[in-house]
Amino acid sequence: MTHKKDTEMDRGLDLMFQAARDQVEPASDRLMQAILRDAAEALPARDAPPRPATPNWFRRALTGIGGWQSVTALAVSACFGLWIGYSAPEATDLLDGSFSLTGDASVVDSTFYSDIDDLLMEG
Amino acid sequence: MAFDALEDVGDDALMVLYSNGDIAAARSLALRHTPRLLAQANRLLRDAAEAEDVAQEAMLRLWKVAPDWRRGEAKVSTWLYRVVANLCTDRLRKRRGTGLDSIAEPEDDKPSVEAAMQSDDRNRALYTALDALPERQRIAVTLRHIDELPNPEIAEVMGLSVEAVESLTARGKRNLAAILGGRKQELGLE
Repeated sequence: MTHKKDTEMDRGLDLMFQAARDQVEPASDRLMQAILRDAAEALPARDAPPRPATPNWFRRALTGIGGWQSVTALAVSACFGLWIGYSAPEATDLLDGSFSLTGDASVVDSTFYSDIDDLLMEG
Repeated sequence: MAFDALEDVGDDALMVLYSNGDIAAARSLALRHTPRLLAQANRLLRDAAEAEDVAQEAMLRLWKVAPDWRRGEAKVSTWLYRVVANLCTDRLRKRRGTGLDSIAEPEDDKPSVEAAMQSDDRNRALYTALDALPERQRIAVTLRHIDELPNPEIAEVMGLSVEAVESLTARGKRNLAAILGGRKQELGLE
């Protein structure tokens, strides 16, 4: 008996829900126009160029030392320094051209320090 | 206002089009969703002007979220149902917070609970009974039995588990039956 009552009430509620579903009033033109006006107004904010992504540590470091040009100059200088370091010169002329170093240290000693030897000997 | 040139385009794709500046996509989304939002807000608020405000506000939030919309993550319709449910809940709570003195006298053509129950208007009786339900039961029953959303979608809208939704709708329907039970004959439900 109770079950029958429940079924009847369920059917009754279903009828009421159906009636509510059927009662759908269309949105007014005024509301639709207001919604589309909002949509148009919300658009310009998006016309701005996209915000760049936060630079990572490498890009920040690169910018900090002056960009790619600086890195290129640094790399060329480093290579040049290495080349100088590895290629020992046979002889290096001094600016006045008076003598040259040949790798024999005794020449340097006798040339530069002879006066000092004299002074030391004089006591 | 009824013709929709992008009728066959999915909601996610329309969101992308709108984000790229296509106002026709916004028009299509508005045509597709506004009537349902309006009906949902009307059912919960029982106030046409407030329901329009809520529908407009929900669509405005959709426009604002469009650039960040993640395809396939949430359905636009579910997202909008959730926004409308939250906006309506806020308004209903504010109403409850309104002092008795500031509540307007009911208009003659708006029936009181008793008058509604005595009338043969099933809708009025149903909504009056729905108004008597606790807030979450009312929302769950409305979404399940009038908007015909599946329980998992209602769970998403309300931020609850599917089991909690099943429990809410079952209790809500039982309470409706109890409220309306004595009026079956006059409502033509027998």
